[in-house]
Amino acid sequence: MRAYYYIAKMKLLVSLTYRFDVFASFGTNLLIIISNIYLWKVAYNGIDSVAGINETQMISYAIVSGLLSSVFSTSVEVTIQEKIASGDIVIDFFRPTNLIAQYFSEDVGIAVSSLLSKMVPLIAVTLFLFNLALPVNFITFVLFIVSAGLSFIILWMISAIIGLLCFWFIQLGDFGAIKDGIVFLLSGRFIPLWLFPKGLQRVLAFLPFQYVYQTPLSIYIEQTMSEETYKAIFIQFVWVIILSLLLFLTWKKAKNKVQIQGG
Amino acid sequence: MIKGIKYHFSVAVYYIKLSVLKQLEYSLGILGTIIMIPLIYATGILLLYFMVENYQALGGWTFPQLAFLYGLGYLSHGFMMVFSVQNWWIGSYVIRGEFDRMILRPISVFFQFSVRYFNIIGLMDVVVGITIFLYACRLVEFQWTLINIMNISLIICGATLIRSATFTIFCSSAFWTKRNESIVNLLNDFMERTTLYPISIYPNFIQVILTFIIPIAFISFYPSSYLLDKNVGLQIPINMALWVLMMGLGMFFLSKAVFNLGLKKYESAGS
Repeated sequence: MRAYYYIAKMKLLVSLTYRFDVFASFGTNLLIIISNIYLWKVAYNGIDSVAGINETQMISYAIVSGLLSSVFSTSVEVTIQEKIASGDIVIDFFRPTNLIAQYFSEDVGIAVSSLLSKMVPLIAVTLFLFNLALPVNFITFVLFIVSAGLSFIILWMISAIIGLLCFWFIQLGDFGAIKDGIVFLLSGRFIPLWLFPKGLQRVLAFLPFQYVYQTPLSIYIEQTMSEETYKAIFIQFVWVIILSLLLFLTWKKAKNKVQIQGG
Repeated sequence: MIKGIKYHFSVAVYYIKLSVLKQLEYSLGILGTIIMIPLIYATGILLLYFMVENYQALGGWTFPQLAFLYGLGYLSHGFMMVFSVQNWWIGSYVIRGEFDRMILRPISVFFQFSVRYFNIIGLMDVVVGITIFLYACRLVEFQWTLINIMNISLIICGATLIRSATFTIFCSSAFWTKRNESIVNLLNDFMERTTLYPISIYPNFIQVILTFIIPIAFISFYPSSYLLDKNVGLQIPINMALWVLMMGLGMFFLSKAVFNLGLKKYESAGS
C-alpha cells in the first residue's frame, strides 16, 4: 500500500510543477462553466421550471458538473497506449507492484492535484461570481461525495478497459477520444438525460455512463431524494463490481498477449 | 511576380502530396475511429435540439437557426482541420527543432509551415460540417440563389482564415513557452462555445470583446445573422461576406507577423 501511496504522491507533485498548464486548464474549465451558465439562463428566460428543476438548481448542476470534470480526467488509456508503443510497458511489468493498481494510483495522484489546483480555485471563483447553491443538508453533501467518488472509479475503469484494448490493437488511433465523446454525450455532463426522449432514456439506464456525472449531480441538486438516492448509489456499486470483473478479465488476457509478443 | 506565385504554388503542391502520402502509409485500421470522432462531436447539435425542445428558442434563435449557425461554424472548423492543423503542433516543432530545416531552405518559413500539412482526417470534419449545414439550410428554407452561393463561399473562406489565424497567433506563444498543448485545448473549447452557439446568449461585454478585440463573432455569428436576415444590431458599411473575407485576410497577415516575431525567438533544440 505504501508503494501506491508513493506513486500517487509523485504524480501529484509532477502535475503541480507545470504551472502554466495548470493555469490554462483552469481557464478551460472556467470557460465551460460560464458558457453553460449563460446557456441555461437563456433557456430559463421566463420559464419557472422544467421537469421539476428550476433555474437555480440547473445552474448549480452546471457549476458542479464543471467542478467534477476538472477532476475527472484519466490518463490511464494514454499511458498504456504510449507505453505499449514505446515498449516501456515491459519495465512496468518488472516492478513488484500490480500494474493496474499502479496506474490507478497515478490517476488518483493527478486527481488530487487537480482538486487542489483547479477545483478549489474554481469553487472560489464560482461562489464569488455566481450563486452556487450549497446542498441543503449535511447528509446530502456526504452522499454526493460518496457518489462522486464512485463516479470517478467507474470512469477510471471504463478508461482502463479501453486502454487495455491497445494490447490487441496497437494502432488503436484514438479510442480515448471516442470514450470522452460518448461520456460527454451520454453522462448528463452537459445536458441532463431527463431532457432526452423517453425511449432513449430507458436504453441509457442500462449503460454505465449516466452514473459518471448525472448521479452525483442529481443528488447535489436534490433531483433524487432519500430512497432514490440510495438506490442510485447502489447501482453505482453494482457497476463498479461489473466493471472490475471486466477489467480483471481483460487484464488477464492482455498479460498473456504480451508474453506471446515478448522476445 | 507570376513566376514567384507559380514557384510557391509548385512547392505547396509538392508538400501537400508528401504529407498525404505519409498519412496513407499508416494502416487503415484507424479508419473507424477517424469516422467516429467527428460523428460524436457532430451529435452535439442533438443536445441543443433536446434543450430547445424542452425549453425555448435560445436567445431568439430557433432550432433551425441554431443548426444553421452550428453547421456554418463547423464547416470552417473542418477546413481549418484540413489546412492548418499544424498550428497545434508548434510546441512540439519547437522542442524537436523541426524549424531548423525550414530555416535553411530559400523560401519563407511561414509559407513552408502553412503548406506543410494537408490533413486527410480533417476531411471527415468537412463532410460532417457540410451535412449539418445542408440539413439546416433545408430547415430554414434557405434560398440557393447565385448571390447567396457566392456569399457563403466568401464567408467560409474568410471564416476559415479568421479561425486558423487565431490559432496561429495563440499557438505561436510556444516559441516563448515551448509548449502549447494546454493553449490548444483552451482555444478549442473557447472556439466551440463562441462559434457553434450564438454569442447573443452571453452578456454584452463578452459580445463586444468577441466583435472588436478577438473578432471571432465574424466566423459564424454575424454571417449567419446576415444570411438569415436576423437583426443583431451591428451595421457594416459593405457586404457582410466581403467584410468577413477582408477580416480573414487582415487576421492572416497579423498571424504571419506574430509567427515571424516568435520565430526570431526560436533557438532550435538543445544537444
